[in-house]
Parts: sequence; structure tokens; C-alpha cells
Amino acid sequence: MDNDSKTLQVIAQSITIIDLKYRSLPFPEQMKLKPERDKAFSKYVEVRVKLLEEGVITTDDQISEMNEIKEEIDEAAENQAIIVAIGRLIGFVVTL
Amino acid sequence: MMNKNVTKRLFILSILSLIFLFGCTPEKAKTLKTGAAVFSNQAMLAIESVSTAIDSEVIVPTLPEPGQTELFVKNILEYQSSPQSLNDFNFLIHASKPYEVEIDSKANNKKQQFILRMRKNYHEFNEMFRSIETGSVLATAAVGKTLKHAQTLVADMVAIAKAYQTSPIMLIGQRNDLLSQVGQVLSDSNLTKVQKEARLVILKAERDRILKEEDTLQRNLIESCVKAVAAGLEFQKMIQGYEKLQISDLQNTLLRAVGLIGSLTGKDYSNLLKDADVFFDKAKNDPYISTAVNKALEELNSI
Repeated sequence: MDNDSKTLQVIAQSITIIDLKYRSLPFPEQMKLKPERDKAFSKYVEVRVKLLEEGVITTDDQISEMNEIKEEIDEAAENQAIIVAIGRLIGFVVTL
Repeated sequence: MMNKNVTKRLFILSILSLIFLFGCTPEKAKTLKTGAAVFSNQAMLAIESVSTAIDSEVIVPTLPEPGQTELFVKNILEYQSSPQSLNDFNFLIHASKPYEVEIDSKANNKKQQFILRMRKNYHEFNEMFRSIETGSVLATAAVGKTLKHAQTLVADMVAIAKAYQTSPIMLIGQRNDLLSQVGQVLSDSNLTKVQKEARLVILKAERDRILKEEDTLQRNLIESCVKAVAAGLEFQKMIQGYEKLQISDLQNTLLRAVGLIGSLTGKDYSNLLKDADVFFDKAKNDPYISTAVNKALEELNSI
């Protein structure tokens, strides 16, 4: 288990301690603790996303490369359509 | 005169061959395009599962009415001082839903950016093949270039599934809510032993519901990732064989991909994990897959 997975578990434990404390307090006291309690939940989301991001290896550069390939295929499609049209026209003329 | 006729016939034959060549490969291209869509769509479903899972972990169930109104009255009465400024209006908002969690903008943005980036990756991959049918012959070289991207996108699905296998979905908000209720029952001196037992029976059912929801979210997420990996692996074979394979071979590969996706539905979690291991091993050992997948798996296995 790597550090981020352990961090996620530690934050989850901390959240429960803070949240149970928060719930046991009178409402005015809850409002004082709310920012800290919500911050702990936010931190959990951040670490969860970080864990996922670390495993992803597809880069932004690849998106650019994919766009280039798409343009290449689009261009090939246009050229092929023209060739087929010319071929059909010549075929039609020659058979006359 | 005779030579002229032969030349004319040969010319017509070559034109017809050209049209035939350009005419039969669109079927192959269409099959390839469908394969890309199957892979991309399956990955999109996995990304939606991830988005739902991230939100679900920190959500706290809202108290139904009339509980909210009762809580509002109780909480406001606990305030000794009268409201002094507009900021005190926040207390009125939170008084009926004090347990609601507000995720800050930094964490929300990080989550949104990650989900958008993932969606974009698979969308752009699918987009590459949009006009492949019309360019079925001339775009053959370009099709080969898409393999590298298919490989890393499959590896990303493996990595997401592995990340959730290491740190499974935990509905912290709901778990805390239940723990708090159990604490209240135990510490309430006004309740008799029989009343406490009756309340705990209800809370046991709530515990079962939370565990079931966690299991469903986890299973759906892993299942959608594994399906995307299976579709991605089959699609890589289609890219590799695009130039040489017959249309029937490509169609069979596509059907196999769709069949694999269908066969992974409705199984229990332990069977699904076995399937996942099979596909992840396949991804790792597949000769078509680059070192990228191995790198991702090595990193994850070092955990």
C-alpha cells in the first residue's frame, strides 16, 4: 500500500473522529467546528482524486497527437472521395 | 483496332478494380469505427462510475421532513443571541441540515478537472475514427498510429480499477451518520433496554443497506473498468490487423468484444475480481501492448 492509500485511510479515520465530535455538540458549537469538519471531507476528495490521477498515463501531448491523426484520416477521406468520384466519371466516359 | 479495344477494356477493368477496392474496405473501416465506439463508450461509463463514487463517499443523508423543521426549531432555540448581521443567515440555512457536507472549491475543481480530462481522452480517441469509412484505404497508415493511444487508454482503465481495489469505496458520510445514531441510542438514559434493542434492530438494517450500497458502487465501478479493458484489448487487435485481416476476422473480433462485455454482467463481486485479474494479466502479457501497461501495473503492484 503506497503513501496516498494510507493517507486516504488516515483522513477517513480523522473525519469520523471530527464528525462524531461535531454531531455531539450544541448547534452554536457545531457552526464553529463546521469549517474544520468540512475541510477534512474536502481533503479526502482531494487525496482520492490524486490516487486516481497517479495511475493515469495518457498525457495531454497524446491528445494533440490524436488530433493530428484525426486530421490525417479526415484528409485521407477527402482525397479518397475525390479519387472515387474521378474514377467513376472516367469509367462512365470510357464506356460511352 | 483490336489493340485499341483491349486497351479500352483493360482501362475499364482497372477503373472497376479501383472502385471495387475502395468499395469493399469501407466495411472493414466501419467495423473498426464501431470497435472504437464500443471501447470509448465503455470507458465513459467507467468514468461516470468514478464520478458518482467520489461524490457518494462524502454525502451525508438529509433528514426527511418533519425532522428537518424540528431540528431547525431546536437548533435556533439553542442560540442565545439574536441575529446581528446578514452572515447569521447561514445559521438559518444550516439549522435544518447541520450534517450536510460542503466540499470546498479546490477539491471540487480537482475532481471536475480529472473527470473532464478522462472524458476528453476517450472522446478524442473515438473522434479519430469519425471519417475512417470514407478514407478506408488511404488512411490505413494513420490507423496504425492510433495503437499507442489505445494502449495507454486501456492501461488507464486498469489503473483506475486497481486504485479502487486497493482503496475500496467507503461511504464515510453515511457510516458516520449511523455511528452517531448508535451512540445516541446507547447514551440515551430515557430509553428502556427493550426500546434500545428495538432501535438497534432498525439500525442494523441501516448498516446492511450501507454495506450493500458500497458493494454495488464498487462492483459497478470495477465491472465497467474491466469491460472497457476487455473492449480495448480486442480493439487493439483490430488496429493491428486492419491492413491484413479479412472483414470477417475484424467482425469476429468486434463480436468477441461485445460478447465479453455482455458476459461480465450480473456476476458477483468475487467472480468479477477473478475476471478482472484475467483481463489485467491479459493486458500485461498481450504482445500488442506497449510497456506502458506493464509500467502502470508495476507501479500499482509495488503498493
